[in-house]
Amino acid sequence: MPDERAARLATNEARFREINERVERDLEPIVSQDERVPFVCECGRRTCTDGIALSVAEYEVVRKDATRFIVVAGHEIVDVEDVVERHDRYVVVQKHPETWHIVEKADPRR
Amino acid sequence: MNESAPFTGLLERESEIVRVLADAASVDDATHRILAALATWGKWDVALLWVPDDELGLLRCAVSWSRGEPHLAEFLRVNERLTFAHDVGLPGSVWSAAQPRWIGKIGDDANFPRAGAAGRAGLQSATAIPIVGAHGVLAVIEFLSTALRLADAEHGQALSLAGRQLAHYVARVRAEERLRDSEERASAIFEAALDCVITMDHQGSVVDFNPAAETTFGYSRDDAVGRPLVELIVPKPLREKHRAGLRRYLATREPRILNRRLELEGCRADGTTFPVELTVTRLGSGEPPVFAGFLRDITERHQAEADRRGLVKEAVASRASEEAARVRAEFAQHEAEAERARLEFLAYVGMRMASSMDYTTTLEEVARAAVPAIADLCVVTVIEPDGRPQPLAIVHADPERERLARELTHPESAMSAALPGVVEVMRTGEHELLPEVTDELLLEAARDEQHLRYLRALGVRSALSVPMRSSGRTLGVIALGFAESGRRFGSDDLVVATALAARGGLHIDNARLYTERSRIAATLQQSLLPTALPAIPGLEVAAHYRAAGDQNEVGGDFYDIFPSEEGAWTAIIGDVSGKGAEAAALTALTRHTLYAAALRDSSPARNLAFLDEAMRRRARGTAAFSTVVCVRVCPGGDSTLLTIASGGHPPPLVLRTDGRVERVDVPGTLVGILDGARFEERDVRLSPGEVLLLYTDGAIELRRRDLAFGERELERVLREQPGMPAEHVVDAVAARIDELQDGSPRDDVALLALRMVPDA
Repeated sequence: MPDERAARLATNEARFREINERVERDLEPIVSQDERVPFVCECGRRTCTDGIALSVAEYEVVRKDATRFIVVAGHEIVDVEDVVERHDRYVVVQKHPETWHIVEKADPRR
Repeated sequence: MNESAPFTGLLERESEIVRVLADAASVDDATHRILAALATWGKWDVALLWVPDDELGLLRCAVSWSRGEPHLAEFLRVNERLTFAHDVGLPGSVWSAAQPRWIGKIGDDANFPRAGAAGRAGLQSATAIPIVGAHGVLAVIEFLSTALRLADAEHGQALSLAGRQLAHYVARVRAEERLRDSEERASAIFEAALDCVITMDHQGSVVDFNPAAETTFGYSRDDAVGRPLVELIVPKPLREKHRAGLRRYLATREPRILNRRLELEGCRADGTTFPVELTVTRLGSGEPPVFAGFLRDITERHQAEADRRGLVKEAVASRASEEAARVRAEFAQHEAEAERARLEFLAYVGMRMASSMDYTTTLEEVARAAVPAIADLCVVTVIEPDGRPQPLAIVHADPERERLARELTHPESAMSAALPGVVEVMRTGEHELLPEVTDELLLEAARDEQHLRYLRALGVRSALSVPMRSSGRTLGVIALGFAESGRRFGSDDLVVATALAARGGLHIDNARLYTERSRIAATLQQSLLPTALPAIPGLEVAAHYRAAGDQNEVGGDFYDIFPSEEGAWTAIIGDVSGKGAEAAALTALTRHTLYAAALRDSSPARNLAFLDEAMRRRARGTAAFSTVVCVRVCPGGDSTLLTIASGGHPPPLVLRTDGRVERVDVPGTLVGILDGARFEERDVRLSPGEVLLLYTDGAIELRRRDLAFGERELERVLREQPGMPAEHVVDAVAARIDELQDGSPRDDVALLALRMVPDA
């Protein structure tokens, strides 16, 4: 059972993922696999307004795992998630196991 | 009729037919002249050519001829407006059957809708022959005669032969016309086309290059024709692929790109490239093959698509950004509300702790407020000054579990109420956060079976224990637990719990310190007042003392009464400046100095002068002073003599038996602060039943801006007490003072009453 803050952060990040899923759904028909698409940062920071430009192909790699999220480098919150990939424009974080059930349940692809 | 003559005649006229066809300006002209020739040859009065209208699916009269009589001309006009469906009338039946038909007498034929018109024209017989082409009946030629004519097969065969010739001619001419029209249209399209049309032979050389291609690629037709196409319009990187494709097609005849719409790069004469849409088709089936390419510059379309994609991307990004902002705003609002709830809780805790020094009650209230604000369970354990842990509060969100927990709590073992982690916190003074409390952890934490049952009964799933510390000491532990709510403690909860515990520690420390200081102050205060009032023959003595303000401050008022010589007593009442320890020291000095002075000198005025000197010597350089009334009491048989001196103190009051109240004003300055202090004395006699009341300013300063009110009120109360014992008088005055100040006097109050016993 996660603490309230970790659960809240996981829920929020799952909501940002839903937003990005809609971004991909709307833009996939008109962009190539390599063309960059304007996704939003899925971090748990209250004041973040950053976007992340990823290709659909790059985004799909992250989406294969429901416990992983894309955030701007430096936006990771280390007590609730681990950085598992670093790229020049973004990092991929993986939630800690106690919140997996939250983010997996909220995954629209499941 | 001669059977061979018509046929022979027809054959004779064949050359004429050929000549007519050769000379005719148009198909219609030729047809009209041949109709006339055939009708004349066959001795028919009217000839009509019926042609199918493909759109309507009906036969329509295309060409007509008659011998010129007006009534025949009228019949022609009727026919020019008519149409025939399949099987209807003579033309329709021939059209359907594709066979000639002969009607010997029109009036007898049931399928001749024009019989009326024919009758008016005097027409009696008719025949019709189909003109049959490769794809069916091209037309029907109808002949009508004003004479009755029997069916003549040979005549009909001759007409059919002539009709077939006419059909071949018409078909050939129509084909030529269509070809010519097609070529003209193709040429016009080629020239006027907005798209580029380029033809290429099997060697890849340009055969034709239309104006649109000239404009698009920047070559003139003359420049382009004969040159390899790839070198003109194909970008260098694609040329070899193009050549390979042509070679493959010529070798295999397998089309891969023919008749497909492709998007490629094109290259202009200036070397710039641009997107083109291309369709290649092979022209005809002749050999060697010729190809036509239709190209369109789609730069603008590409740009428009790119612009549209850009706009869509911007719109999607904007919407996503707005949605994300909304989520984050909700997040921030939730956090703000949680933070506000935490602050409200801590503010409540601070308020409760500030309003009381009874930490036992306060911490019980705090524990009640903590559930469910920050936890499902709150256990407060205090470490007593002797080091013994004492469970102070157990509050659970579930009343049943709370009751059970209380039952299971061993009254002699504080540890039986402790949650996992509490013992460690007490030992180390550091917080203990257990995000998940498993049964294994309960087994490990339980001191015994009873404690284990207790822990399991609480149903704690997550625990957080924080020390209540102050001045480097751990004074207790606040243990929080989450049970059925399913929540788990995290770093935010630790911040709140730590703040709560810090307040708790300070509160306990302050409360204990306050209690200790109050005890010390009470002890000191008691030492400054007489332990007991003396028994004076013939007099009742009563006193009252109440300190204002906090319990831990020593008041500045004092009184005393003691025997000062044989048969005489000295009564004193006074008020020293200030509060607390300094006032206590000054009070002690004043009281003991007067005591000593009264033992040596019977004059109250000189006693005050002695005190004044002592105080000014002792408290030099300070603003300390006192006001004092000193009374020498000499009880007698009929009355008691009172010798009164005052050092700036409110005047004593005497209650006579008749209820009158007398002020005893005696001149005298403040004691201990003025150079040249002067004190006088005045004698007053008390008769039996009369009362002397000494008091401090706290008894009359009842209203800040109206001191006279207090004096009037004191005298009024006194007037109501004639005949009352001294103790009753003191109680009545004290009660009125309390009443007028709502039970919370602003200043210390001291009262001392002496009453001469009536029967003494």
